[in-house]
Amino acid sequence: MPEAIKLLQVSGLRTEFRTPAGAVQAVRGVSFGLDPGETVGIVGESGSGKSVTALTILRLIKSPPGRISAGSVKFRGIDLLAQDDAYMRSIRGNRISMIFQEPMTSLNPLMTVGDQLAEVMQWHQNLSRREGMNRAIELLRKVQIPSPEKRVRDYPHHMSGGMRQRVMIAIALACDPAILIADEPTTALDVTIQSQIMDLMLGLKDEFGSAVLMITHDLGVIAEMAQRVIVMYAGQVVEAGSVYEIFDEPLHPYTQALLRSVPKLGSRTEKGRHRLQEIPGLVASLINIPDGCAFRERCRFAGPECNGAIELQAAGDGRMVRCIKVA
Amino acid sequence: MTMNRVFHQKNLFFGGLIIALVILIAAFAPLIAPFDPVNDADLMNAELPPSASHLFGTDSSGRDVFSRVLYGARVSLSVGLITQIANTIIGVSLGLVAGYFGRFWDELIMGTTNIMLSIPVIVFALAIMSALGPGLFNIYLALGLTNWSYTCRLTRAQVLSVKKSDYVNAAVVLGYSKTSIIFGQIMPNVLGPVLVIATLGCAEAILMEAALSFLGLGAQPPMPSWGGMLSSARDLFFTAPWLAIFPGLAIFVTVLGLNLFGDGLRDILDPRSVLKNT
Repeated sequence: MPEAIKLLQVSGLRTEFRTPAGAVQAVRGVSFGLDPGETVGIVGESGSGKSVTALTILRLIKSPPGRISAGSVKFRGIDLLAQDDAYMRSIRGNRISMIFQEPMTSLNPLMTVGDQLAEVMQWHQNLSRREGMNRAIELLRKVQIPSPEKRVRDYPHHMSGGMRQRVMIAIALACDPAILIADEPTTALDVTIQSQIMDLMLGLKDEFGSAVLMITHDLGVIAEMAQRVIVMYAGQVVEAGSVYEIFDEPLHPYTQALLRSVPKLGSRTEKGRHRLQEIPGLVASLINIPDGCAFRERCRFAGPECNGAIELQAAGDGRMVRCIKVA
Repeated sequence: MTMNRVFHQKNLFFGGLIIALVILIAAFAPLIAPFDPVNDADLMNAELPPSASHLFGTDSSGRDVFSRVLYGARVSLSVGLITQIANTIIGVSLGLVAGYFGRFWDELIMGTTNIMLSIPVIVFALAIMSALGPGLFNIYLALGLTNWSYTCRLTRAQVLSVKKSDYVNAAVVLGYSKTSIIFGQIMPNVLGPVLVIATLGCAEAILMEAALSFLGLGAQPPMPSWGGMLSSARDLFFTAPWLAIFPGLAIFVTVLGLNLFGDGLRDILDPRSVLKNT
């Protein structure tokens, strides 16, 4: 079918890591698209392949031991997996940028934050140092750092974790990227700072018009920020849909279990003491994965029919689910 | 690193004071020295003990020892400085290559440093000096090209830890090139400990130059060098001990200053020892 060129179209992506025990298949055929200005959340527990997916998009998988074995990552119709290193360098930090989990250690301790901000723009946009510094002050003001004229000359150790994450966001947005990948951007911060950072990102997203790929295990962050959600389990997409559909009516047993394991405010007083539900068992090993549903050993609905190959199927308008019991 | 901390670090402060003094002496030797160190020979007044007109006495040719010690600082400091600049450039460059690129380059460079570390520097330097012949310039070569193994290994170790840091990963994500990452992000973060090694190496090179000059391989007479002065004082030690004592003291004080400075520098640059010494 004829389809408009997406901002980002990931199709059939497979990434594996060679280990002495065998090839770890971290990402097993992930496909999704991203439209300009939209926020898509990828949720999943540790080891579900969500970070590896993000790193694969930017071709940051270290090889060896890693290898992108199949699939394509089309950015505005150009397959990034087929481009040379110089082309990727012109994309990274410029058209597609990324924010990390660790604001405390992600800034160079020997450079002022102003220099680090200016350097990105000098590198990608050929600004002079002076122009870069002026833009740096402007960006620091946009991420709501007080008295940015003074703060540009600060070193990272003069700043708190929340402020450093603001600086990281400013660096990521410095070249006005089309896509911002945020890998657990609030995990390392205090809860109060988390909500400030999320508000800030929501505001800046509108201002800069970047599409955001938000990777997190925190369903609260997704609910607040994303329009669409992709749920990943054992390297596969198990469910995808709008944030309302996923939260109101989760289809896949894994998504249901994930939502039940989140504490709700006031849930204790409703029926006295009430134990939070966990998902039994461990995340499936990614070495020698058998056919069939990867979640079946932890699933309460599992039956013999779950052992066959299960495809991601459409379930209503733009909704996808990988479960034989649902479709 | 605030200036306050620098002043509270006693080793650094006194070491720095001594070094500053030696540098000033070397720079302004012609203004301070009462006599010319080479041409004011006065055989009538040879081997005079220290007095008001000749503070450190005179040597066997009647030259003023005080003036010669002042000028000798130039030889010693130039040896320390030039050899350490050479060592640091070679050691840091090779260490960066070994640490960043790893594999073949790491094996090759680390193998070379292992071989060099197994040969005592003085023997290595002697071999080079005997091949090239005596002279100050050859001392620069012999000491500048042989003693970079420690710097290289230290740099490599630092690079190995820094290159895995989040801010280096962040630089990759921002699309910086390898060259930019190596020189812009990694190198500045490994130079602290290298500076300490270079300061201590400076002291070592000064001692080494004195040793080579003592053996007659260094600065050639009549150029005043502390090691050379010690060498010529050897036969007269019992009749004119001041000929050996004053150049010896000069070496001692300069090396002490450099070592104190290096120790102090290490203490303020190494976060683990901050609490202990400040």
